[in-house]
Amino acid sequence: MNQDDGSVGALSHVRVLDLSDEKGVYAAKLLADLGADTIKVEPPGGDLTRQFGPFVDDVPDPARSLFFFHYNTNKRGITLDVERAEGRRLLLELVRRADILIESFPPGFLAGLDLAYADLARINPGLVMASITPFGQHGPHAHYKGSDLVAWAMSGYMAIMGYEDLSLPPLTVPFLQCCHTAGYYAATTALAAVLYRATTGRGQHIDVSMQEAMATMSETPNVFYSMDEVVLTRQWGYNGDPSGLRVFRSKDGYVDMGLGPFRRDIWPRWMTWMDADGQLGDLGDERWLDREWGMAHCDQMYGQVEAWTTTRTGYDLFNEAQTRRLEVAPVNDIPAVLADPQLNARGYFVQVPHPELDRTVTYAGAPYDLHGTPWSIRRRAPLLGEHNREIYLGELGLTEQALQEHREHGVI
Amino acid sequence: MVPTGPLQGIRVMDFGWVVAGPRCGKTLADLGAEVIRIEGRGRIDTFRQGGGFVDGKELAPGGRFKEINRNKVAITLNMRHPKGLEIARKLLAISDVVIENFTSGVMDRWGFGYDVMKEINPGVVYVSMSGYGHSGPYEHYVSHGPIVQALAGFTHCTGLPDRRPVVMGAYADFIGGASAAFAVVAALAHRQQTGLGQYVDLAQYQAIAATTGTAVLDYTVNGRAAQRIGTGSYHQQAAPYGPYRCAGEDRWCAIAVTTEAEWEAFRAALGAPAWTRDQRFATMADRVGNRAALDERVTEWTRQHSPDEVMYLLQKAGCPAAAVQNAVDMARDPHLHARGFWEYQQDPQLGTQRFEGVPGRLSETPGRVRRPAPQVGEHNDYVYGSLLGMDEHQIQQYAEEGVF
Repeated sequence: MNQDDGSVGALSHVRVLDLSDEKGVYAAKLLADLGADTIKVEPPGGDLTRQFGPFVDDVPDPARSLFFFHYNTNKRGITLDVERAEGRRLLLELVRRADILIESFPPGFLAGLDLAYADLARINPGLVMASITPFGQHGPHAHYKGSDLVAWAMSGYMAIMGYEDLSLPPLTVPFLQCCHTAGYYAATTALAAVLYRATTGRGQHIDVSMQEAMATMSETPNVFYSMDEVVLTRQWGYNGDPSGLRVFRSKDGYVDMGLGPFRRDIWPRWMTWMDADGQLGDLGDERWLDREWGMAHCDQMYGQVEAWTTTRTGYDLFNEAQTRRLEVAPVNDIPAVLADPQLNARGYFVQVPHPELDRTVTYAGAPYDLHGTPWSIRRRAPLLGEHNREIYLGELGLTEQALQEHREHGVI
Repeated sequence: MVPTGPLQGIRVMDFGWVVAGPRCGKTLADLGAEVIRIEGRGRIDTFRQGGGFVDGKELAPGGRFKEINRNKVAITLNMRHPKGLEIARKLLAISDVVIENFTSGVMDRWGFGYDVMKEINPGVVYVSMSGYGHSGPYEHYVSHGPIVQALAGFTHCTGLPDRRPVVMGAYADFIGGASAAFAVVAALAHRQQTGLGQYVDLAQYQAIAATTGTAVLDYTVNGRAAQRIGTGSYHQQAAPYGPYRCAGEDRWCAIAVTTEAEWEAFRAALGAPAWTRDQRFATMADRVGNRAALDERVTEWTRQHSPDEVMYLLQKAGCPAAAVQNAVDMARDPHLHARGFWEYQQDPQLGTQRFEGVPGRLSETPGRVRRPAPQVGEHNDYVYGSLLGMDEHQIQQYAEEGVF
C-alpha cells in the first residue's frame, strides 16, 4: 500500500496517546499505521529514542534518527513535560479526548505524578491504558531496570539461541523483538478492551510484561520441559533434531533447508533432486532412513548435501524446490530483500517523502493487507513539536499567549 | 458472571494448521473468544501427532499442539463433502471471524472463498494468512515459518558475524499469528463502527519482514546492509553489553550498560575495583573501543557468581542485568510465579499440565487458560447440537455419512 490514497483506516475512529519510549513505540505504530489518530507526546527536549541510531547519513542528530523515523510513522507529535503541574493539566485534557494511552515508564512513575490509571479514569472512564515494561507492573522484579536484551534473556528464548558449540555465547535477537512482541500484545489487548468497552462504557488498565510476551513466542522450550522434562540448549533453532531446518552454504551465500532425513515423505524427494544434479553420492542408501544410524553419521550427510548446495544459488534452489514441494530458501541480506520479486510485486515497500531532508525514503511496508481499510503510511514521523500549534491551539483551545508562556516555562 | 475476556461473544472459525494459524486463534481464545477448530477426519493437525525428537529422545505426542490450542473447542468437518460445506455456511452465519493458514487457493477450491462468505455474512472478518500472500510470483509456493524468516532478512542478521546464520526456530509463525490476531481485532473495531467485515490478506513473509526494524531504512538511506548482530545491539553502541559467562556449566547473565549512570551503578556493584577506573574504560566510546579488554575483566567477575547473583547484585545497584534463563529457570522464576504467569489444567492424556499464561493482563477482563486443548471432534455435539440446532439422530447420520 502506498501513500494516502484517500481511504480510511480501520482505526480512524480511535485516538491514541503515545507516551512511551522504545518499549511502546511499536504498539503505537501498529495502531497508527491502521489509521488511529496517534499523538506522540515527547518531553520538551525530545524523546530519548531520537538518540538511537542509525542516523541519516550517519550524522547523529535527534532530527535524523532512523529509529525514530521507523517507529513513529503516521503519528502527530507534540512536546509536553508531564512532570510539571501545568503539563499534567494539559495531559489530562488530552486524556479526556483519548481512547488508548500507551506508556512504558517504570512502574509507579505515573502514580507519583498523580497520573495513575485510576486518576486518568476519573477524567475519562472509557480510557484504555496499556503499560509496557520489561517485567510488568508488579512482582519481585517489577522494579528491575530492563531493556529488550534483559527481557530476551529472562524469556527462556535466549538460552536456546546459538551454536552447538557451547564455548560460544547465546545470542542477541536482532531488532528489538521483545518490544515488537510486547507491542503486538499491547495493541491487540488494547483494541480488545476498546471493543469490550461498548458493553460497559468502561476502559481498563493493561499490564504488559516484555518477558512474558517473549516467553510465549516459541513452541519449544516451555512446552518440551513441561510436557517431557526436556531442557533445550542452544540448537541453531532446530531443536536437537537434524530432521528440522538447517543452514547450508550455497553458491552465493547461505540457504535454510528442511532436509528431513529419516522421513520417508521428504528425504526421497531430495535424493531424486540430488541424483538429477549428479550429486547423490551414497545418500540414496536405505540406511539414511534409519534415524539411529543417520544421527551417528549426520556430519557426513551434511557435508555431502553442502557439496551439492554450493553448486547452486539460493534463489535457484528456492524456485526449483517449489516445483518439488521441498523447503529451501536463500538467507537473504537486506539488499536481497529489497530486490525480492514477491515483495516488489505486492508493493510492500513504501515511498515516504521527507521534504525537510529534500528526499523521498523507501520504508518497510505492511505486515497485512486489510482490503476494506488498507494499511498505509500517510505521514512521516513528526518533527519535534511539529503539531504543538495544531493540537494545543486547534484542539485544546489554548491561546497564542498561553502557548508562548508554556514554551517559555519549558512545559511544552 | 465473570466474562471470559474482552472478546467474549466473538465466535471464530479456526481452520488453522500446525503453528501460524492456530497461534492467531490462541490469542483470540485466550482473550475470551469462542474459537472453534475445524479439522477433517482425513486432515488431522500434524501437531497432534508425533512429538518430534530432541537429542534422539522422542517426545510425547501433541505437546506443542496442546499449548497452542488450549482454550479452543474442536469439531470435525469434511469440507470436501457437499453437506460439509453446507454446515460450514451455517456456522459462518453465526460467526464473526474466519482464520486459516492454507496455501493460496484451498478455501476457493472448497467453495468457501471470501466472495461466498460475504454473501452469507457481510460482517465477517476473514484473515487468510498464507506464506506469501494472495498475489505475486510466489502466491502458490509452499512455506514454513523458518523459510520466510530466511527470505525476509531476519535469519541473515541472527548469529555471530564470523559464523553461519542461526535459525530462530519458528519465530515467523509466532509473529504471523500475533500480527493476524491484531489484524482481527482491528477489523472488528472497524466493524463495530460500520457493521462491515473485511478480507485480510496476511502474507507471513511480510509480517516477519516488518519486524526487521530499522534495517530497511539503514540500507535505503545509508546504503548499509545489516549484518549478523551476534551478542550486540543494532541501535546503540554500548559496553559492557551482552551475555557474560557465569559460574557453572553453560550459565550466562546478560548485562546492558547503555548510559554512564548505568556504568557507575555497575562499578558500584563490583565495589569499584581499580580496573574500572582504567582510562580505557572511562567513557562509553572508550569502553566500546576496548570491548575485548573490558569483556575479559567483566567475565573475571561474573565467572565467580551464578547468573542470579550477578543479576541481583547489578540490579540492586541500578544496572540492567538478567540471567539467561533456560526452561528450568523459567519454571522456577519467582517473579513469574508471583505474577501467576504459569497456569495449570488437567489434560486427559498427560495429567496436570503447566501452560504459558496470557500476556497483556487486563484489569477488568483478564484472559485465562480456561481449558486444555480439545480432542479431535470433542465438541461436535456442542457445535452441531447446541449452536446449529441439529438433533442427535441427524448428528449421528452425518457422522456415518462422513460429513463430520
